[in-house]
Amino acid sequence: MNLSNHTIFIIATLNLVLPLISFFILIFFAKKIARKGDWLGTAFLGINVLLSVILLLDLKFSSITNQQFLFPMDWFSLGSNSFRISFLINNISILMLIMVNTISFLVHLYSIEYMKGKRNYERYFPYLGIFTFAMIGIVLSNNLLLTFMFWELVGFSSYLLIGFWFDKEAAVKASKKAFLFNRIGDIGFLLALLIIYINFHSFEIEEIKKGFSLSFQNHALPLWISLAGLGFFAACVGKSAQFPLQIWLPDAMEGPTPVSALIHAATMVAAGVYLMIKVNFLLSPEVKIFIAFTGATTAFIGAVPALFQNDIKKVLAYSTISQLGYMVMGIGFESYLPSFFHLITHAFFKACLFLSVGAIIHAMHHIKHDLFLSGDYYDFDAQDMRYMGGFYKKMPIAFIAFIFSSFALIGIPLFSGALSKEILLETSLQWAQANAKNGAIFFYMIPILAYSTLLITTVYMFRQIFLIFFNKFRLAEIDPKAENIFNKLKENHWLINIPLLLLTLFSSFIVYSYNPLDASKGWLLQWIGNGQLATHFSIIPLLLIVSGVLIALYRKKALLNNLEYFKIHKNSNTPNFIKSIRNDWNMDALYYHTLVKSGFTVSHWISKIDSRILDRLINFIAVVNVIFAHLLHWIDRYIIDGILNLIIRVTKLTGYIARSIQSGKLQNYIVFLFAFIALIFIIIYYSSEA
Amino acid sequence: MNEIPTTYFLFLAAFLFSIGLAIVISKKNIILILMGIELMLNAGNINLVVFSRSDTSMIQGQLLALFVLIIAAIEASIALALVVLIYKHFNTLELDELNKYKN
Amino acid sequence: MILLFYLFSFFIVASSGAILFVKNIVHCAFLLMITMLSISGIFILAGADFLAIAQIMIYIGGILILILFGIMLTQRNNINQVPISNFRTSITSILIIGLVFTMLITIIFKLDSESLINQRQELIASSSISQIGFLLMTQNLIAFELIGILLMVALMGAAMIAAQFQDKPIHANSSHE
Repeated sequence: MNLSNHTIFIIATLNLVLPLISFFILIFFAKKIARKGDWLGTAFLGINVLLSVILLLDLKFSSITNQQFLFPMDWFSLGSNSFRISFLINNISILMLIMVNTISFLVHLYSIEYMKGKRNYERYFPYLGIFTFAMIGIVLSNNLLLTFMFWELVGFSSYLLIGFWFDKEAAVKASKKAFLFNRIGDIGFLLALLIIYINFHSFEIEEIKKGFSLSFQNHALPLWISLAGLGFFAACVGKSAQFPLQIWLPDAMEGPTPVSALIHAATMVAAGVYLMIKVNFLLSPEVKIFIAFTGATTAFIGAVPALFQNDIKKVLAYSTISQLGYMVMGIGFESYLPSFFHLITHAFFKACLFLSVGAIIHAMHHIKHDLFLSGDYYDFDAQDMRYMGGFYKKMPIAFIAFIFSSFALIGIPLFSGALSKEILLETSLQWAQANAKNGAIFFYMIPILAYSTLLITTVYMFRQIFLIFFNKFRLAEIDPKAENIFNKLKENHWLINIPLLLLTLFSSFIVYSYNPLDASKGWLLQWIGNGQLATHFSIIPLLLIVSGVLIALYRKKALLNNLEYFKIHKNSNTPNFIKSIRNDWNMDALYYHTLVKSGFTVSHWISKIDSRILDRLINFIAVVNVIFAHLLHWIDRYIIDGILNLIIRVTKLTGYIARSIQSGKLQNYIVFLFAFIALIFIIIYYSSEA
Repeated sequence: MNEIPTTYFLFLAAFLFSIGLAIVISKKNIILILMGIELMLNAGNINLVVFSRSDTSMIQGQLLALFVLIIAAIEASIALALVVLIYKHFNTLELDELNKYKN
Repeated sequence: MILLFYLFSFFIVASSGAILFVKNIVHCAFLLMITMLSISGIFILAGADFLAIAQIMIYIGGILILILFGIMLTQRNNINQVPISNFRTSITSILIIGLVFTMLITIIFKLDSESLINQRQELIASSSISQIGFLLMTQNLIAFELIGILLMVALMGAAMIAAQFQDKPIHANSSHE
C-alpha cells in the first residue's frame, strides 16, 4: 500500500503523542475514571501498536528500497540559525518503533493484572505513558538535540518508575542511583552535541551525515570527531549500563516487575545502542576498538555475578548487562545491523523472561499474603529463588515462556537469540583476526570473552530454570503450612498469560526468518541490511552450550547441598569472594570508597573554607561599611555644615555691613556722604577722561 | 602778593578741608566736632578769598567770605549753647553715649 | 612773600593736624587759635586785609572764647582726657580723607591756572575795607540787613537756650516763638 506523505506524518505524530495524551489524562483524572484508568492507557498503546504496524507495512511494501521519510519542520530560530526538527522514519526506526509499542502494550496488559490492588495504582499507568512517549521520541527523532531532550525524559521517567514504591527505602536509593548514573553519561552526550554543532552547524542526523561525507570521505578523521564519538558512547555507557557504569541496573530491580520488563529489557537500555547505531558514521577506528573492548568486558563481567545471585530478578538484570555488552561489542565491530537485530530479539525474549518471572513473584506474594492471613507470618523475601521450586506443574504457561525465552537468551538454535548471537560471535572472531594481523594478540581477548560469556550464560540460565521450576517447593519444607497454599495455586490470569504467549512467539525463530539457523535470508535482515550478512553455521557455540548444560547438571548436586544448608540455616555458606562477585564485583563499594567519600571530604573542606572566607568577607564588608559611614558623617559634619556655616556667616556679615549704613551715628553719615561724593567724582572724572 | 599762584592757596584750602573732615568723622567729643566744622568753613573762606583775586573790580568773594564768617559765628554760638544744655541733661558729651539716648 | 605763605601754611597744617592727635581738649582749642591766626595771615597774603582782621576778631575773640567756656563748663570730670577715637574710625577717616583730598587735588590740577592770574593788581595796594563797605551799602544791602536780623535772632535764641537752666524768667525783650 502506498500512503501519502501526509498520512504517514499524521500516523507518526499520533504514535508519538498518544502516550503523552494518556499520561496527561491519567495524571489528572485517574482517580475519577473507573478502574483508575488502566484500560485507557492500554487502549492508547494498542492503537499505537496498530499504527506502527501500518507504518511497517507501508514502508516494507513500498516500491522504493530503503525509503525513508523525513518531515522537517522549523522549530525556532536564534538569529540566523534556525533549528529544525524532523522525524526519522526508515526501516530501522520502524522496527524499533514496533518493538517499543508492542512491548509497552503487552506490559500495560500485564500490569493490569499484576499491579491489581497495589498502592498508588493510579500513578502507574501515567508513568508508563510518559515513559513510552519519551522512548518513541528517541526512536523517531532525527534531531540530536531533540533526542537529548527525550533521553533526559526517559531517564526521568525511569526514575519515577523504579522508585514507584517510594516508601521502600531501597527503591528510592535505586531510583536515585539510576538517574545519577544516567546523568553521568549524559554529560558525554552534551559534549558531543556541542562538538557536533560547532562543526556541522546542525543537529539533524541526515544533514550531519551529508556534511560528514563531504568533508571526511576518505580522509583521516580529526580528533574532535573522535571526541564526539566518545561523547555519544559515554551516553550509551550510562544508559545501556556498560562497564563501569553498569551498577545501577541490578539495583533498579526494586521497581515493579513489568517496569523492569519494559525499561530494562526492551527499551531504555536499548536506547543507548540505538543511538550508537544512528551516529555510527562518527566513530573513528580508535573509538570503535575502545567500544568493542568495553562491550566485551561488560558482557563478561555482567555474566559472572549472575552465577551467584539468589534473587530472581537480579539474575536477569545481570544477564541484561551481559547482552547489552554483546550489542555494544557488535557496534565496535562495525556490524551495526547484527547489533540492531540482537537488540530487537533481546527485547522480546528478555521482556518475556521478566514477565514470566513476574508471574512467579506474583504467586509468591500471594503465598506470603495467605500465610500472613493464616496467622503464620514468616518473613521471607518473595524474590529469593531458594524458596521457590516446583512451579512447572503449577504454572505451565509461565514455564514454557521462561523456557523458550531462556533458550533464546542462551542462543540455542531454533530460537531467536541464536540468530542474532551467532552473527555477533562470528563477527568478533573475524574482526579479531583482521586486527591481529600485526601481531596484536590481545585483540583475541574479545572473542575469548564473548565465547566464554556464552558458556557462563548457559550455566546461570539453567541454574535459574532448575531453581525456580524444578525440585520441590522449598518454602514448604521450611514452613509446612505453605504446602497447602502452594497446592492451591491456580494458573495465572489471562492478562498475564496472553502477553507471555505472545512474547514466547516472538522469541522463536519463526518471526524473523524461515531458516532456523540462518537469518540472513529472512525478511528482517533482508530489509534492513543488504543481504550481505552471510553467516555460516559454526559448531563452536553449540559445543559451548552443550558443555554449559553439562556443567550445570554437574553442579546440580552442589546446588542441592547448598539448598539443604539454606533450609536449615537460612543463609548461605558462600565464601567471601563469591559474595563480593555477587555484589557486582563490589563495584558499589569501590565507587563509594573512592569517589563518594572523596567527594564528601572535598565538599566538607570546601564548605569550611567557604564559610570562613565568607564570614571574613562579610565582616570585612561590614567594617568597610562602618568606616564609610563614619567618613560620610565626617564629611557631612565638617564640609556640609561648614559650607552652611560659611553661607550663614557671609550673610550675617553682609547684613551687618548693610545695616551699618543706617547706624544712626552722625559721623557715619558724614563718612558715607563724602565717600559717595568721592565715588561719583571718580566715576565722572574717569568716564570723562576716557 | 601777586606772585603767589592761586593753586597754592587752593591746595592749602583742600588740605584744611580734609583735616576738618577728618576731625568731624573721627572725634567723639561734640566740641571737637564743632572745631572741625569751623576748620571746614575756614577752608571754604580761603577758597572764596583767593578766587576773588581774579575778579576784575569786585570783591564779591571777600564779601561772601565775610558773610560766611558771620554766619559761622552765629552757628557756633547757638551750638555751644545747645552743648551746654546737653551737658546739663546727659552729663556727658560723647557722641556714642549720646547715641544711646536716642529715644 | 612765598616764604610768608609757606610759614603761614605750615602753621595751619601743623596745628590742624595736631588737633587730630592731641588728647587734651584745651590744647586742641589753643591749637585752633593758632590755626585761626595763621588763616588770617593767609587772608592778608591773599589781599583780604579787612577779612583777616574780621577773622581774628570774630573767631578768636568770639568763637574761641565761647569754645573755651563750653569746654570749661562741660568737662568737669575728664578735663584732661579726651576719649581716643577707636581704630576703625581712624581707618575709615584716613580712607575718606585720602579720597576727598585726592578728589580736590584732581580738581585743582585740572584748573587752567593761566586764567586764574591775579587781575586786580592795582586794587591790591589799596585797602579793601572801603570797597567792602561800599558794596555792602549799595549792592548787597539786603544781605547786610538780613545778617543784622539774623544776628539779633541768634542772640536772642542763645540767650533763651542758656536761660533754661537758670530758673529765671525769660527776658521780656525776647519773644521767641
